[in-house]
Amino acid sequence: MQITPGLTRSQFESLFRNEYKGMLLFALRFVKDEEAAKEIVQEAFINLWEKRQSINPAGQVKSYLSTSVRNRCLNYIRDNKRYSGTLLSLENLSPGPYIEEHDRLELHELSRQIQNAIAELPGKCREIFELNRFENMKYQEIATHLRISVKTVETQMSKALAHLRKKVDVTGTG
Amino acid sequence: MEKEPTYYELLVTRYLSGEATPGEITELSSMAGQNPENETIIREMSQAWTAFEKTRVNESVNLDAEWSLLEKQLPVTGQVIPFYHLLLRIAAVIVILAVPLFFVFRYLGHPSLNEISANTGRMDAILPDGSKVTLNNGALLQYPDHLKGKIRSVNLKGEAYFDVAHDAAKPFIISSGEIRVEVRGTSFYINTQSTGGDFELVLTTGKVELYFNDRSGHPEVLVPGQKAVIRDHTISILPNSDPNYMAWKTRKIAFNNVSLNDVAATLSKVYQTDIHLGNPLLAQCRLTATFDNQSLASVLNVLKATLDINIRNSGTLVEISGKGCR
Repeated sequence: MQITPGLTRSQFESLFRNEYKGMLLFALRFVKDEEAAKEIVQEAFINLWEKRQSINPAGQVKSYLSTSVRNRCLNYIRDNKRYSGTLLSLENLSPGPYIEEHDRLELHELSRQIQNAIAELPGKCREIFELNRFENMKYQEIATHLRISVKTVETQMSKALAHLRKKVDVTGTG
Repeated sequence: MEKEPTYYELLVTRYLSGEATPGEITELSSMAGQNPENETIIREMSQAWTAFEKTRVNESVNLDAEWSLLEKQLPVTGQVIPFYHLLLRIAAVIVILAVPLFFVFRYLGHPSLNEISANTGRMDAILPDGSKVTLNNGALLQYPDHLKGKIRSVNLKGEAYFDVAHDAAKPFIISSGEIRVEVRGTSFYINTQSTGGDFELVLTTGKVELYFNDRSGHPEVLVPGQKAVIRDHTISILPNSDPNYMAWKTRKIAFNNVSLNDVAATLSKVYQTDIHLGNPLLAQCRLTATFDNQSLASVLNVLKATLDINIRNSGTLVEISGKGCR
């Protein structure tokens, strides 16, 4: 359909809707702060829009985008003294651009496993984990909210993660 | 069910959940490389974390909201415009020019801002878009005729509770000085002039964005149960610890082992009257009680009976006296 090179607004919007979640996940692996990760992904899309005339929509838009997200993340963790080459390589984040496979069935199965694993957590542990992950509350905020120590929050978060590690089949992820 | 986590596992969890300090990251980094076992632990914990995040992001991210946030920031200049697009743009310029002139003429004709103020106690109102607002005594709300236009914009001074009608296409923006509160459809309590002069907002349902007028691209986002306080041009977000923040509207008050000092502060806000403690030791008395739509006189009677105190109510001032508690 496209005669002239460049990305139209509707192509850009559908690209955003298709790739946003994958890019956010990718950014979250570097930058463990949701708001910062969101901002980085937004910036990468804005940068893509500014360069849209030189972008071939049939070409490697996605790899351009993921490279852009990765570089912005690396800059962010460097600037905020959160950079560690060792951890990045252990998390398998150093090489190449990011390719996310969209397998709905696989994601559905993963989601089921994770829901089951979370349902198995003891009440307090589950509550703490959910406040942290779904309500975006920091350890300190959870401690204040539940009138418990930060140490307890930390221990329960670690137990929740240990349980996920045991129960969730992560082959093919990360 | 799980054994107690080791120091190393705690560190990995802190790192993954974004709680680790730069120092802890350095420490973790050297521990992780120490032996193959540690490498395996961090790799597997990170995989489990990522797997969880994958499902969370997939289920919880709202693409419409993220797109409209992005759309606002897209620059519109510097593109090659096909001819018919250019025509559209000219039409848009005419409309853009015409709109402010239209407002100027209207403004000259008659004031286009409507005002609601609560001068004699609480006041409930329904705005033209269907949003409900309760103003507490002394609050002032201004809004343009019919709340037409791309955004629903109102000005607020004082204390109010909003239950905003949902309209995803037209954000509802409350301005108070340089502070902006942007919502689509949600309910929340707001006080632009709380005790001490701070701005306060407590979110009941839905989601609100809070920002300064010169930083609209960087909103603070609140979730239900959170409270935002703005002091010295800084927004802090914390869990709301006051269960009685809505009592001025609902007249439902619950005190759970609350000091008489705080009881007096809540009552004076709800009943719009000054309450004075005659003896500093009275502040140490604690009260557990609930009141549902009771008059000030009957609330004071309960206080008197439970705390062994004397109360004199002159109508504008309540004076509490007694030995107090230790």
